[in-house]
Amino acid sequence: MLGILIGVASLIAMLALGAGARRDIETRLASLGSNLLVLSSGSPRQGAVTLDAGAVARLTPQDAALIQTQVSGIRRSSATVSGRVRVKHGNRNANTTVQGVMPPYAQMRAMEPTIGHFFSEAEQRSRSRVALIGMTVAKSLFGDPHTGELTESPLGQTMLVDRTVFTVIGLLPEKGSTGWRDQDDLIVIPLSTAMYRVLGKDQVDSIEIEVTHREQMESTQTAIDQFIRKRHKVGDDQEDAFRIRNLSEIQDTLTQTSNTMSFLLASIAVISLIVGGIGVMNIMLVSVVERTREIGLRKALGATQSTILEQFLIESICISTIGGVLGILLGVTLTSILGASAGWTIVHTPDALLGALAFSVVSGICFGYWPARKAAALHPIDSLRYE
Amino acid sequence: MITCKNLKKSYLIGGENLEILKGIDLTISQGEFVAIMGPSGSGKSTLMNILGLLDVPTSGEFHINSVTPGSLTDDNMAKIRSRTVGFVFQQFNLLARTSAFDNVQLPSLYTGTRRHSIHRAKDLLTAVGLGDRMDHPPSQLSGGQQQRVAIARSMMNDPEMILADEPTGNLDGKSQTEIMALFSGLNATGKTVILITHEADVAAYARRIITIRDGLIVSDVPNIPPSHGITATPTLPPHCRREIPALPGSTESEVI
Repeated sequence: MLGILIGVASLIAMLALGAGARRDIETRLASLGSNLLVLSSGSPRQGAVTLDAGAVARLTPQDAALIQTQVSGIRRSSATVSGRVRVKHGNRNANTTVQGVMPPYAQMRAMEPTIGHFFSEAEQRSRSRVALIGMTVAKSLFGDPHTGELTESPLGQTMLVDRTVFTVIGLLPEKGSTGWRDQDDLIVIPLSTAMYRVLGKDQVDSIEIEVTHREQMESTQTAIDQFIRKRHKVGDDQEDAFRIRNLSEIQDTLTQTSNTMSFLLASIAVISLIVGGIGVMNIMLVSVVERTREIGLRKALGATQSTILEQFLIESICISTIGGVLGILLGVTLTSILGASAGWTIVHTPDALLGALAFSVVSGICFGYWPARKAAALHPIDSLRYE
Repeated sequence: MITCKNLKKSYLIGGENLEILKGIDLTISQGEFVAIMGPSGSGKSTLMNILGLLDVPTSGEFHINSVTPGSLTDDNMAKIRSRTVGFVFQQFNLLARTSAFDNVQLPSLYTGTRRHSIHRAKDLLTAVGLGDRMDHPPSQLSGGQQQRVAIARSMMNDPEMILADEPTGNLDGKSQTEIMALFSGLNATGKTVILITHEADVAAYARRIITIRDGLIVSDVPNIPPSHGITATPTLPPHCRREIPALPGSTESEVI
């Protein structure tokens, strides 16, 4: 019973950790956006020398608009530029990344602001000086200088981006960090404003494209490649002129990795359950030997093989089920404590709980069957005489 | 009720065929009180196992209520056994950690009559004088009380025959008298009682004494039980007391 208990507890813990890790990865992936293709100008080589990005073809905001209308299967797209800027509010300043984007970007990258609003198409076109700020920037500009907590809403406040005055119109949702990069350390402003008022660029860095259906990622990627080569008169031999990255591939890889991890954890737990099951089998075998006289008596009183088999099977199922239920309680408690103290994401799915219970019942049947058969096959006379 | 003709039983032990029963001829009618006596190794336990449907003979005829157990599967034998035979063992063989009541009720589990068994189990325990100790586990009962529980248990499925293997072997004299009185009382209500013993004063309660030696019946004589055992019966209905001494010798004369 202890074996089953520990087995089930570890199964529950492993599944909860696995599911937690997967949910973690999924939230991070969702913040990346889904079904995204990123088109950027490549760095072509001339002989052994790698030229600057955009040396062959420069992407413009018009490219983004044309791709949207000329290539089928695209839900939305946005051209983006980015650069480093210094932002300033009162006597406080910060160094951060600025991204100039078009309004669809908010949906594509899950960047609808938690408070405030995203800028509109009209604001984009009129080069409005409006900005959405990430949490890190908000805290360093508008937060309490000691604790860093936001005490007042940054909405409607003004700040200097390099030397231009901007109004804060929204606070971007918190995304946490992906390893080394703080995703909240940025400000987002309209593309045209960024290009002409802040960064001084007349080309865009990349065009992000959201494909409608996941299955069409590859074909759309090819179509975009052909369209852009035609429009910029780039031959097929110049492979490095453009790059199209498929973000869903990264997504798939991450999902696969997390699946592998959960599978690994679950299989470790299953092994410990099997060990627990063998423990139950040993208990039952000992119990059959200890109760040989009882079995003989029951047989003398008219118990058939099947009734004895049934009795011992039920006993082992009871043992393993009680063990399973206790194991679930223990597992849930332990992982909840772990989750609370270590800050790990723990997810208890009903499937995992039911599965663990079912598994312990099944192991009761499987590992109880042999001892039960042994008991049922005992001969009444011999077992009655057994000392 | 029971007919044996040239009954033989042998075991293969260490490659050697050991014949335990060498041709038993025996007829036991319904309602008899038989004691089977003999020294250890004489084959009386083997005979009891066969009579109790726990074992089958190697050769010879054996019928019980016109059923021939040798032709049955183990499970069918178990079914007949549960309705026909009630066992009382020397070691009582009660389930430890189980109350007297549950012990008595146990046989009904195997005949599918558990629902009707509650009253019967209570009545039986009261009849053996343990009405106030139903909830006690065997460890809290004396040897004599445990054996009385076992007798109540043997009666649970209302079998035609009680088979008792040295039922007083582990008991003191007073308990022995009580137990034997119970058997006499059961016999008086029409049950066949077969008693295996090697004590002459236990066998004296029976009305027929069969002696076995080396796998053969050496004597088979009627016996008049002493009256004291019967008058001491705590549970015997009054009419039985009158009937038993008056029972005709015809039962004995039918035998063999």
